[in-house]
Amino acid sequence: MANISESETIGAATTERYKYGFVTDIESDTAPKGLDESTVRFISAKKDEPDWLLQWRLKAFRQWLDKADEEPTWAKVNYPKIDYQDSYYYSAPKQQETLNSLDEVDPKLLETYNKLGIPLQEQMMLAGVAVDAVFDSVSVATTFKEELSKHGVIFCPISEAVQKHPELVKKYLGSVVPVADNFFATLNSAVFTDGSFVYVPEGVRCPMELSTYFRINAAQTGQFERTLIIADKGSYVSYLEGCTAPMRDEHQLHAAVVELIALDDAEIKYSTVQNWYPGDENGKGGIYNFVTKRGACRGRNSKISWTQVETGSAITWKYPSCILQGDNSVGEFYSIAITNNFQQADTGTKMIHMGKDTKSRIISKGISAGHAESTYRGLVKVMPGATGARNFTQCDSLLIGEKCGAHTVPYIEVRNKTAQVEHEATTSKISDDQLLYCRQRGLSAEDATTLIVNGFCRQVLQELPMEFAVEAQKLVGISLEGSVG
Amino acid sequence: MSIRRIAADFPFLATFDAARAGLPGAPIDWLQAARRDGLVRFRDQSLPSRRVESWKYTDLRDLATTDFAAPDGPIGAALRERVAPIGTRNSVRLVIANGRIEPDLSRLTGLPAGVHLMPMSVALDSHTDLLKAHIARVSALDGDGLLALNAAFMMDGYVLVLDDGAQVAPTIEIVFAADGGSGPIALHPRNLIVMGQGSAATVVETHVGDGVYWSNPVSEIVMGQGASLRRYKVQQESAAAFHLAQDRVALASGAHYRGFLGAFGARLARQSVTATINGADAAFDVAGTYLLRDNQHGDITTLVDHAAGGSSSRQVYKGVLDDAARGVFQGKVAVRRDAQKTDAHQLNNALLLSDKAEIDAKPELEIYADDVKCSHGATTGDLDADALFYLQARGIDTATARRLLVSAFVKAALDEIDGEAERARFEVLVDTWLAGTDG
Repeated sequence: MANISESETIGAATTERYKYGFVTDIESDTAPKGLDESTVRFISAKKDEPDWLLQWRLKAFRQWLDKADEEPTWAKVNYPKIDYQDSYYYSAPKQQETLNSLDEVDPKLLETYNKLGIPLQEQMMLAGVAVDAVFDSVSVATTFKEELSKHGVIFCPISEAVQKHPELVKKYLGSVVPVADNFFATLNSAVFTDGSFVYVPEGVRCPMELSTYFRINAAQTGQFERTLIIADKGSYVSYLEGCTAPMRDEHQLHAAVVELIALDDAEIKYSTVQNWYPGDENGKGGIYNFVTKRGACRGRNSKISWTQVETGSAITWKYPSCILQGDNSVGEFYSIAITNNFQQADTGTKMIHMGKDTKSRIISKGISAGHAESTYRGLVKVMPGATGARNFTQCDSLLIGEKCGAHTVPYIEVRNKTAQVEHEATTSKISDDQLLYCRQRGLSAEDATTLIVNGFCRQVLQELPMEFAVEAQKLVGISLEGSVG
Repeated sequence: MSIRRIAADFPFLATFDAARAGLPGAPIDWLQAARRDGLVRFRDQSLPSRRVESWKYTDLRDLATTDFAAPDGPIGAALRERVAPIGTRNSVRLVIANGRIEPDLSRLTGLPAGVHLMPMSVALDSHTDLLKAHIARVSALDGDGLLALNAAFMMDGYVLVLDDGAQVAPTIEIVFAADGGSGPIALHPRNLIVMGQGSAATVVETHVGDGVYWSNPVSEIVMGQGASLRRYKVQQESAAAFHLAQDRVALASGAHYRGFLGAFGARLARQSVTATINGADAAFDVAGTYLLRDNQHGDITTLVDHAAGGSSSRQVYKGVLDDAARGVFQGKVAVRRDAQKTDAHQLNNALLLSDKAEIDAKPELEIYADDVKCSHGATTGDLDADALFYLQARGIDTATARRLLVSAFVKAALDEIDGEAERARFEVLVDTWLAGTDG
């Protein structure tokens, strides 16, 4: 039964070319290759930053030098040693005067966005999405600002927030992911170029989904975004992050840091679709995605929900986490990680229960095809004070083909007797029965697989905002094309 | 000094040259070489620190700072009296006390033809070639400092050899007794079970002792085609003891290993089991319960390596942690590239009875074949409030109701035991432990 379909298609090389692989040629304002204190000073000066931030960066840089031999090796990923001196750390699109409207944006940039299908103009109005598009490292267009400012919502590039809202940045920057947190976060703290800043004031429900598209453009430029989102008491915000990147032969490093802070009764929903260039079917090229994402539920009844669809990057190293400090706070992690060809993904979450009656839920779906390796790595930790804590974790892995690997490495540490922690994991292939059922009804092997995989991922897909859910479902199919039976 | 090692310079290490003369196999050159090699490896590796991933939750620093000497003399009369009645129902018994066979308490007669049971010291003479091969095999394994130390100071353990087709009906009773009453001692028993095609046996191991001591047993078990082994272990070490045991099991096709561990004793205990399944239709089923209180630390670490397809494994562990006890469960199932049609299941449930108790669980799957059914589950928590209410609503007081529920929780693990007599034996041990808890 299934053997027929398998023999038909397994082994057939991937034919779907990376759709978004093009390079826009614009004049980069690039820092010299390599990383030393002067690079850090260059970036800070470019951004016209206040002295406190320069000092913060320099402190981070010195700590990073001390960590030289602490590049994490525990993840189940393999890559040649990165030469941090063989990379550019700053690359900005040509500096513009202050932009008042989209007309002032470099037409080449707009063209890029159009190719990517970002609904920046009318489409954006229709979609009701405010886009703070990051082109390389500098945010060049921010829209819907007026609508947001009416509600007191601050949504701007973090470099702008440093100038206009230094008190907020100073208070929260590095408060969730400390400078010394890990090798990549420390590096980011020293050389971060730009990213988004969101502040939602007390009692405000953000009137629209906030969204940022990141793109990596100049060759060999590591991207070091820094995102900071603060939801004040009783507020709500949903933030979408989507990523595409052009085709490159050289591996590119991406080490972002995202910090979320939810105060009393606040809720942050953070959704990601990541489809950066994964390398070709022989494992050449592709992005190294080494990201530190963490949210702090500081207030009572606060909630942070991470949803991610990871289909791109040659290597993904990413653990969006929640520190559940406030009593009755809630953390959620919904993840789909699809790896094909020679992709490697080591991803998961940490749920740290500190407050009373804190709850967390982890749903992870890993799909491996081709020669790919996919690992779920997660931690559920219940501290002694977290009376009544509750966690449910479900990690399912699907293997497509016999050359791939799927691994599950959960850590469960419980120090409170009233905590209820449940973990379950399964690994299997697509059931022959399901495949047969679909084939009998005339679906091709590939369509049947896409359908079944989408069903496998349903619990996560339904957590995505509408705009993303559609794109994500398509991505599931595209990511698996040529590798499935 | 690497941060991945804990420096340890035990007094018994210095006695290596003198001690060798008194250890099994003193006149055998290859064994002396293996011992020296083990010592060199230990000097290099030392004890693993918590920076070594598989030791993340178990800290050996207290062990490293205890002045363990080599055992000197027999066990005390009181301990001897406790050992005497253990498992006397069974006709075949081997007692090893302070690293040496205790002939007066042992009874090695009455075994059927093709079944050979003896202490290591005897086996080195009677089965030299077999022992040489297996000792070399264990030395070549990718092991830690503890394995190296056992190779260097290897003491009497039991050697059980079954010829092809040999079946032994009566349960083989093995007792390890350690007496650290007159100062801390270190013991390094080495056990070996070699099973021919289609052979079958049942072994019960009991570990007891007094005072401060460190038991570091290594067991190698090699199962031939279609061999069947039931192996039950009762770990009742003294409350001041360290018990760090490792089992290395290899299964040929059709072999069936059934193991059960009851872990009650020791201040710090770790049972590590590595099983390699090399053939189809082999099954590796282990289960156990760890019941800990006070400041006890109990660690169960398993690795089931499905190197061949069409095999199955099953692991079920239930732990109850009272007072400031800490339980650790690390279970890994690996399925290699071509091990298709593997069926692997693993479950760890832990019950915390106190605010200071802790459980750390790390169930792990590493899968490289697609046509497999692998799953694991881990839960921790308090007793089910609804069940408690149900019992209370029927007039049962809280303490009794709790005890009933804890008992039911643990006994679900005992259901994994295949054998009436053995189940009954563990049930008594569990009940005794439960009587000492206030629910």
